Amino acid sequence: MWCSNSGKKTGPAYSQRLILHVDADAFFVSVEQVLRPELAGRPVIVGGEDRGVVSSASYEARRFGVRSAMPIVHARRICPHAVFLPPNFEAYKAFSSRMFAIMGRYSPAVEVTSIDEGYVDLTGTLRLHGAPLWEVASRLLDEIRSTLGINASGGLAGSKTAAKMATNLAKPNGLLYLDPARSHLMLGRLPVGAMPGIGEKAQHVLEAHGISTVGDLAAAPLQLLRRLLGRWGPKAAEIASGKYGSPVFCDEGRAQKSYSMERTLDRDTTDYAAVRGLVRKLAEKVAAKLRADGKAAWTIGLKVRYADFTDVSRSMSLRRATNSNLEILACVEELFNKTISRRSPIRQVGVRISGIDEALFQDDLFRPYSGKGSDLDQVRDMIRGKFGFETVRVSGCTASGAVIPSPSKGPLLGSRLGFTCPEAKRPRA
Amino acid sequence: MRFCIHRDVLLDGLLKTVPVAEKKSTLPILSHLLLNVADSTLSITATDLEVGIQATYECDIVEPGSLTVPSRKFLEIVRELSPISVTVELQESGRVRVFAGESAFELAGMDPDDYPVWSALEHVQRTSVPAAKLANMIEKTLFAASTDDSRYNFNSVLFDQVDDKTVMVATDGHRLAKIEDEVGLHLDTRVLVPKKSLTDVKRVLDDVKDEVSLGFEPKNMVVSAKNVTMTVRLVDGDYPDYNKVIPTIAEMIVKADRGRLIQTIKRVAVLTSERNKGIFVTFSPGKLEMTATHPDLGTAKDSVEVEYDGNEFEVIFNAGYFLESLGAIDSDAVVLEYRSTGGPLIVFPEPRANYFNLVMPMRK
Repeated sequence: MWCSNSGKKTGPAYSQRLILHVDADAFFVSVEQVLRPELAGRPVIVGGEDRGVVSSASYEARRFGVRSAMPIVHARRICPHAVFLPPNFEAYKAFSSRMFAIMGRYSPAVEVTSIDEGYVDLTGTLRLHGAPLWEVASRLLDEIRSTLGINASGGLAGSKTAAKMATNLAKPNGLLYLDPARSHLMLGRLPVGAMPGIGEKAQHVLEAHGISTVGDLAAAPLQLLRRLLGRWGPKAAEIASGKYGSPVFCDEGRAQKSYSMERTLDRDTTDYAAVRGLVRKLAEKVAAKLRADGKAAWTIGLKVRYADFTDVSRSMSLRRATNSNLEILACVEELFNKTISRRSPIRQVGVRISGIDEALFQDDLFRPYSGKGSDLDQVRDMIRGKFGFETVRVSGCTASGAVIPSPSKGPLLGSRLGFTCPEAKRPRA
Repeated sequence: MRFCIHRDVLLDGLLKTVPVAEKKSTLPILSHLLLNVADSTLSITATDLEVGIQATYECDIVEPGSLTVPSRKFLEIVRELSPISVTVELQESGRVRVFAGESAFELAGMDPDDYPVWSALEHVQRTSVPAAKLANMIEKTLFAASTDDSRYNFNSVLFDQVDDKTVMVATDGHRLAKIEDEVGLHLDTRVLVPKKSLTDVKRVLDDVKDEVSLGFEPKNMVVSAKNVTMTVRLVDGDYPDYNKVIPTIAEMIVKADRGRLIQTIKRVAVLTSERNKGIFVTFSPGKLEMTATHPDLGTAKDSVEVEYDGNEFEVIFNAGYFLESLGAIDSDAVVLEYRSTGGPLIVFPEPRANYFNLVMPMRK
């Protein structure tokens, strides 16, 4: 850890905007290591099953070149002696909320950006804490370490972007304070790809035009940037120069923006009937979560990742919000038929439901509400909650709502009622 | 072709006809006006193929003929001209020259022979109807018609005849507005007039002080008033039996001050979800309590005093529909009627008049 500024209690320090970005180091792995102390100091990798990707790797595993989002198979090859663990999201969520609770004790303005990172706006808290803010930041990280037993890194700077960049420099287990007036001296020298929002593609485009550092980006002509990056260009320059800072959005009470689930198939496949079955299952699970939260959605999306890692995403917006199983299934079915057009093996599929709204539905004068669909959803959710997802199956249906026999589903007799009993299932041809 | 006309007269003609011309059409000539001069009369024609309008004015003709001009630009020009005589001329090059005093413009016209043929439907028998009454009937119903193309017959207002009265009904399935009045019309069949066309008709009616004449043929309606004639293509479709959905027995009756009710809904509606706009309304003795929740931003709560002494119950409404239904009422007081078994809320003017509307609630 290093820092500048003497922390005088006079001058602009009182009113200066200072934002702390906190990012837990190798979060999932750290939590596993706390729960199972025997794993401490060993290469540990948390990820999906064999076909999934690495969600989190301990620093010991990273030494062997293991990185997040790397296929597990690859990680096994380069780090065979690592301990591979399936994710335990319940535990991660619990640690995450405790971490943000600690952050919330230092300032009411806390923005949660993901399960393991977020921002705390420390502006104006100098008098409250009676210490220079870099010291307060250090205390906060210490409290996370001592209370939760996991390491967190921090960046304290004049804007969210600068703070995040500072954290990346401070990792692992460090804190970097950048005096807002002089932070550009340091950040300006970083490669342009180090700035959040500049991805690999944008970086290549910028570098091709001689913009290779954050400083270059700040000084680049706005017209050029607008041509290269579109509307985001001039804003990126403003952020790079430290002139722009978006506020810290307090997340308290803020509703979930989307519901999604992804699954990687056991092997790459062109068996579209099986993929379709998986997509439907994901859709049903997401729809059930939506209903459990008393929400409805306006937009249904499907993502397909092919074996060559090309992603195709498609979504459709509805005329009215829904949380009905039947309607959501009809949508993903339609999306699936539109998306699966090429004969390539599929690796992964995902369903994402967004445009989340309260579950309020407008009644119609000429189409009396029967309540059948929602009663059915309620009963099905209840049975599945108690006896497991597979105990109730929904028949296949087309976008128009017509019931058609589906290869992986039960007999049509039961399907007219919306579900079939597994016992009644006919053997598949 | 060349004619002269006073700018104020021309402007009047354009203000009546230009709104009918299609804004973004696949057929470019529909964004033009057809100007025709003969027998010392200028006729200005506009159409979007659903509605056609023709306005006629006396003018000084130097050379008879016809031309087309881009409607919106022509209106912009005439609006800015000094109130003096304007000359419009079709040049040999095919361009239209417009000049008044020192101001001169040249516009690209199109071949007037390509303009869709418009018929005034002279043969159709017409009835004189008080313009103000008809305009009022349109105003009381038009808002409830749908804009959703998936139920296209709801994108229109129904004209129906019950004994001596003309009934107009509009609905989008979520709310319904109905008015009846004796206007001297005798319709043989029910007629569906498209919402957009009726907006154009209303604009013309608002300008007429006394009577308009109205005529119907199987596919068209014709409206004439003074120097303006409109033909409106009717919708060929079914309309549901609206009488079936109008409740006949009310259990809960609430009397409220319309202005204060609107103010309260507006305040609470600030924090509804932008898309479903749901507000929770609790009817309790002496007051209506309203709450709204925006999933991201927060909640709102307010209440308004009303005359009500029944049981407490809660209904959810789309704030937008509720406000529009109250906005269509003229009186200072309103009466709301509701049945505990569900169905629509009825919004009546108080004292009762010849119109009311329904709003369907929302469901959790």
